[in-house]
Amino acid sequence: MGKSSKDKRDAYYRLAKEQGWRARSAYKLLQLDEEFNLFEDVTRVVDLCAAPGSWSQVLSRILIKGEKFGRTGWQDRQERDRQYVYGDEVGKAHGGIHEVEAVGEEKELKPREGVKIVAIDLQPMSPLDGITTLRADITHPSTIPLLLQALDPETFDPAATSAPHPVDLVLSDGAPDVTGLHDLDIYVQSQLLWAALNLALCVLKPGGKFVAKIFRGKDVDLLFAQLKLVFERVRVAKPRSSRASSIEAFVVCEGFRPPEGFKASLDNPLGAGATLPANPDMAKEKTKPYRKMREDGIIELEFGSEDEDTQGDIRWVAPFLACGDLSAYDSDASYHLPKDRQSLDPIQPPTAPPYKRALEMRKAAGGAYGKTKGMST
Amino acid sequence: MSASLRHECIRVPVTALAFCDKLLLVAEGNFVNILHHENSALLATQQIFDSQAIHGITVCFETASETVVIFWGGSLLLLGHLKYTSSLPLLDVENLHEPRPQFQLSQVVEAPDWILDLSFCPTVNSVLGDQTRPRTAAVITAHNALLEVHIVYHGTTSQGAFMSKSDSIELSISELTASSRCILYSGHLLWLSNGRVLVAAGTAFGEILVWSWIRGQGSSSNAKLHHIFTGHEGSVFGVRISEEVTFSDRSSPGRLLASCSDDRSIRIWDISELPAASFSKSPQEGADALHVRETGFGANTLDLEDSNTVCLAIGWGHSSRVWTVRFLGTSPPTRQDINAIQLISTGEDATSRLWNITSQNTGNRDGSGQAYSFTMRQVGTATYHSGKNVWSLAVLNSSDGAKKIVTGAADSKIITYHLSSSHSQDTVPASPAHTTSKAIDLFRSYAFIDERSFIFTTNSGTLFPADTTIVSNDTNPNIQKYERLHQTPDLKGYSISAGSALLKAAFLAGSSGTIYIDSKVAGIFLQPASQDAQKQPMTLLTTSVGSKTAQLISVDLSSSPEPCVLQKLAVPLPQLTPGFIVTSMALVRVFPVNNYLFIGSRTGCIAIYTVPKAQQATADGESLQITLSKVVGGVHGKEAVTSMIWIPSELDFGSQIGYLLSVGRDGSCAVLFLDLTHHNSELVHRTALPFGPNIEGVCINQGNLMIYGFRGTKFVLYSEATEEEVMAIECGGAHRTWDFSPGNSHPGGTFVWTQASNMHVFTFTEASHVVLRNGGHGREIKAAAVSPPIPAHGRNVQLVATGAEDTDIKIFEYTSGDSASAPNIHCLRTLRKHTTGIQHLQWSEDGEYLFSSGGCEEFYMWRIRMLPVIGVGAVCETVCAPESEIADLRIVSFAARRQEGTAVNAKPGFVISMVYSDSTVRIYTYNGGLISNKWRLLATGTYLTSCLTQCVFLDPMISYPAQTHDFLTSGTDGHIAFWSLPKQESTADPVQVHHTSRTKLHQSTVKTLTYQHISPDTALLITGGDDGAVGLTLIRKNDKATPMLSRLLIPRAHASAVTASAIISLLDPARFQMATSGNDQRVILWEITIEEDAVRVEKLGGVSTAVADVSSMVVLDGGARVLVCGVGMQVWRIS
Repeated sequence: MGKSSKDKRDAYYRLAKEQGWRARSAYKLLQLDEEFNLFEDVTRVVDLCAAPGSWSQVLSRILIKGEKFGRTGWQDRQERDRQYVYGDEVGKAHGGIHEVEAVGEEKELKPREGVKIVAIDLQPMSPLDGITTLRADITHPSTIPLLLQALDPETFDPAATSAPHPVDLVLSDGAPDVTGLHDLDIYVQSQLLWAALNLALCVLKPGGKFVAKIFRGKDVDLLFAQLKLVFERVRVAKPRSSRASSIEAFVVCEGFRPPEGFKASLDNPLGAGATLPANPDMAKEKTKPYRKMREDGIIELEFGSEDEDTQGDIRWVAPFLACGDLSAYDSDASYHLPKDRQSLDPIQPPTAPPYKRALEMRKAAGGAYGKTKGMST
Repeated sequence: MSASLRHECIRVPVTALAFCDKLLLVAEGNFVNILHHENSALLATQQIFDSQAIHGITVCFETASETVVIFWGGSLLLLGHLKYTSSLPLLDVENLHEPRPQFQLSQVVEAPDWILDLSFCPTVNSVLGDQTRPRTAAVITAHNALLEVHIVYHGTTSQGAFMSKSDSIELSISELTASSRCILYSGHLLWLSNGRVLVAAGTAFGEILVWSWIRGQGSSSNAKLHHIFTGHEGSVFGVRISEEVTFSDRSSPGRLLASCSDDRSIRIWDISELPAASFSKSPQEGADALHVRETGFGANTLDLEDSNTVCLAIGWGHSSRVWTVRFLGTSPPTRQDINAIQLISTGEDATSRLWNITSQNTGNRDGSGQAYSFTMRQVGTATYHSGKNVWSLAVLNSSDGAKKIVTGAADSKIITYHLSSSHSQDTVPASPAHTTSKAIDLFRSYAFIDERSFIFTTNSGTLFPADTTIVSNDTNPNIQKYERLHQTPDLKGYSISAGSALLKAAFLAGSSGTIYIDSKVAGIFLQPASQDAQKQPMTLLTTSVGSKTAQLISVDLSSSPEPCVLQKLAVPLPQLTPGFIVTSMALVRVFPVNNYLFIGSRTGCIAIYTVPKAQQATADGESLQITLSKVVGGVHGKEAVTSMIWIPSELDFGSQIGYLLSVGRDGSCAVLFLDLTHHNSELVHRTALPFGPNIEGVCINQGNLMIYGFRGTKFVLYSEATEEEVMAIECGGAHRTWDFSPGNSHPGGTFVWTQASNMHVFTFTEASHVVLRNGGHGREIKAAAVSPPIPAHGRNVQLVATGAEDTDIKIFEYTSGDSASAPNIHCLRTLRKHTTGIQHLQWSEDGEYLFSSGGCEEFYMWRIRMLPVIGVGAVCETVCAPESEIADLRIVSFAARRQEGTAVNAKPGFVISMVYSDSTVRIYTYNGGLISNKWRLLATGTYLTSCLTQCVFLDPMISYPAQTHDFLTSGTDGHIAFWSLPKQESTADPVQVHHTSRTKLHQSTVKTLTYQHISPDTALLITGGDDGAVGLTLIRKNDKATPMLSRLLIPRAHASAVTASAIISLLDPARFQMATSGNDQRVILWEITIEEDAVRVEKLGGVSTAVADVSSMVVLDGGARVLVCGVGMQVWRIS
């Protein structure tokens, strides 16, 4: 699929190129921020599984450069985006074009102070101003000291198991190589989430936030129940820029509450497990049954979470929030593009796929790896 | 009141396989099927885990009377004990009163992590006797930890003393090494001795770790890292350690490691040496590699000695990711390879491939100039699965050295085939008779005169007989051995022939035509032989170059001393059909009046002639006249009709009503329903075959419809009944001289062809592979719809249509099974026409039509019928032409319903409302009875900008003037919207329609929508959203812009997106059961009660399903069963 046919399929892919993002996933973080105000009072952030770096770009532009993308920034941008994506004609149908005043990103730049952003990925990542990038496997124990060192290069103590200056926010947009064997994919994704949580337990300050990609598939309620043990509020969100056909969603955990006496440990991290150490302080989340009339006239019926556990497994279904304005475009929709539209090159060429060499071999062998001639009788 | 779901049948990806004597254990989701692998009988199906899929089956031990295996999946494992009754393990399948084999299961034990491999410790003689039963097994986890599993047998002092209680066996787990947190995609274990385990582990970033664990004194033990292999450019999905192998150029035996990866390569590594790396300071570090280092692609690995030089060989062949590799031992010597080590691999490309690995002294360089000391050659490919992903593989070594391979894939099909000892699987069958001979002159034509004998002519005009049963032992045959039968100048330079194996006769013609007729003969076509053919005179049709008539010749073969021509009739070829060139013929003998002759043409049409009977003509005293009754055009488009078979209507055997089945070079198989007396014809079936486009022949072999033709460079024999390829023979392609004779008593046949001036003969008596269990789609099902009961041969069938990401539509029938047969979801027909994943399917109310939509604005309407012999007949009756400039616009959903009173020529009219991914709506009418303008665009509308996902009509029938609210849509914005149709049917251009109102139900995409009429003015709408909520909306019709709605939402109904819903049964008009399912792989049963304007909901219960990515759900047998579709299918009975 060439870049222009992909343009037609996905409004966010087009928009990312237009607005200088390395990947369309930048919009997922922006839309999450729109709903959860993630960056309020945040200066120290760890971005895990960061490549190609679009989330780090968001962090850089908001925290380091001080650009505004929040609720205020969003609405204006929204109108301009709409005009861009729909073209003039559709723009008119939606109330006509009114000149949108530039939000004055240049005028009102308010870089935050004491900003520290560390980005980690398995794949190499192009550098970003002001951001420390590390190439490492977040499931590997050796990554913890690497991260601690990167966070506090001056005061790094190799024996420490937690950061002297904890961070406000840990992000993870990591996803595995999806195999198609669903329970394996869900398991590997959950292990990336556990690895991210393990790092978060080492570096996150009490009250801090943790946002991570999660596959909403089988047994996702087991993960929710565990996360709820160490965070006051756990919700699951699906940004409109994430395709509805994908099981991807984001778990937004707020109010980190490390259990009394909890010490993150390098020797016994969470990595290989799926449950947190039992602690009486960590009350199991329960949702009570109710039937109520909402403001919008919908009767909401909650059966309660009592019957969600199965055979000793603690399960809990986190509340769901769609995020991104309803008028934001839809990653599942097809859009009519102006005929004279130029297709732009991606900001960052995609990482070479692992099968690049296989394709070269095939091409060199005339299309079929050279296996056909004279091989079998 | 309670209701529950009881599992009946499952078809999901096959994730593990294990041979166990005559049994084959097949893991499908959380179930194991016990099959007899020699006769394919399914003996039993048993649930192993509550919801966890089985990923491995390891046989602990097997004796003549019992078998013990460990099932493992995720982090769970349990022990199963199968005890054979007296008749087992012979497993007399005929005797179905025998108790079905059933595993006694131990308690489930949970390991601390995901299990990648499990291996039993070799047994040691113990003082306590009971030597045969292993007591420990080692487990490698996804975080590189080694665990030990202990098996405790209770009461095993005497043989056969396994208690019938499930607790007679227990499992427990202890850690041998701690986990390293470095996530692995693959692992393999090998016990080197009772106290030493060798581990190979593949990481997510292309590294392979080889380490071993050594049991120490007491509790101490030691782990040593031996190798870190780098080179793979993607995740390592499979690793395998070989048994000890002997290299031709080395004195001592060694050991190989095979790995396969995301980078599509298979690599072979030398692990003959297991050095203790100096950095192994502690047991933990031994398993972890270096503790502090940068990880990830291209990280600094040079601190170890290993580098690419120990990679012995690389194999390229798979066209996508490779999942598994397995060593098969040493292959028997072949012409090219002596002492090759064989390896089999399976991958995402749905193939399994066979490789020969040989050591060589001259370094072999690949494209990048990298030198390897071994050569790896692909020697065979098995492409017997559809779609993607062969997940599982098992190998059975029989005592005679032959190997039986069994593979299981995402299509849930189970395939077995034999590895031939000296030939590749590609081209040579299990019992081959494959000979080649060099001709002195060129081969001209071949004609079979017996099942395995044929005659051939050469350019010099020589005629030879050939008997394939005699020459098969000769490894180097040549033409001198054939006895010249006849040589005539007539056949010099040009000869054609046609033979009949059943009649043991062949007809030949040369350029001068003196054999039968007096000009250059263009073709000879024989009446396809039928069982009663021997009693009848032989009929052949000859055509000559440039002639406007053909000759129909009857020959009496039984007359002596030589055959005599009984009759010669002129057949006038249709003059009104331009370019009519005969390419096939069939003659129907109908008692008592006329015979009928069918002639297929190069232009895709079929001419039907009436042939008066000889005695009738004699009585009338007139000369016999063959008359053209009808020409049916376009049966095979504009391509040649290559073969035809007449199938009499079962109601009226031997009469003038029946079916003419034909194949053609448009790659399709077609069926015409013909009433020969009234010259009526109707196309009742035409589907594209999975090979072609050169389809050359059709025959009925042992009651099965077989079709043959070419796919690329291969000749393919295909069974239409099972939709399964029987054999593919590499022959160079369709453009050559060839003949094929199907086997009389077996599914194979003999194929003779010319390739590079050589004559080749290939005889096969069995198929290239056996389907042990049929499967379904090779990709996830995206849509499903069930028909009302349709009459078929004296019973009613309910057809389940499914459409998948593989772009196929399949028609299934579910049979719930009885004492003699297991429940089965059987595919009756595959419809191939869509080029994109299917989005939506719907049946017409009477089950006669199936509508399907996909991406790129594909919308097809299929006429579906139940036919004799052929089974499900399907014709794509119409295509709705795309109208948008967006190339990949999806018709996400649609609603179709019959338009009353619009039927023309018995063809019903439909109104179809389609919703698109660009937020538009189009309403069409279709009237198939009209001559032109069958499709008419009634109205178009634009919703907002979000993608629409669902569409239903609100009233049972559209009537004009329309109601205010005619249909509703839902979209990715979580809203439902009401629309009305134009008030009068305008004759002019389509009108613009707008939604009259919209209401929010879900936070995001409405993924499923079920509409149920409950009273004349009330309907209930069940919705499921991406938000995990189930919505129940009562719709009361009124004449305002917004219908009266009462909305109820169950926000946390499922743990993830709700993607399927169905009404199970109406208990009374105000009370019914419904089921919902979603990505959380739960199926939940609810009871709904409507009280005035309030909806009451009760949760009746739920079950887990092994079907991932659930997309749809249908209710079978009037509410008795529910079928869930997604990645596979599962059926429950509702009790």
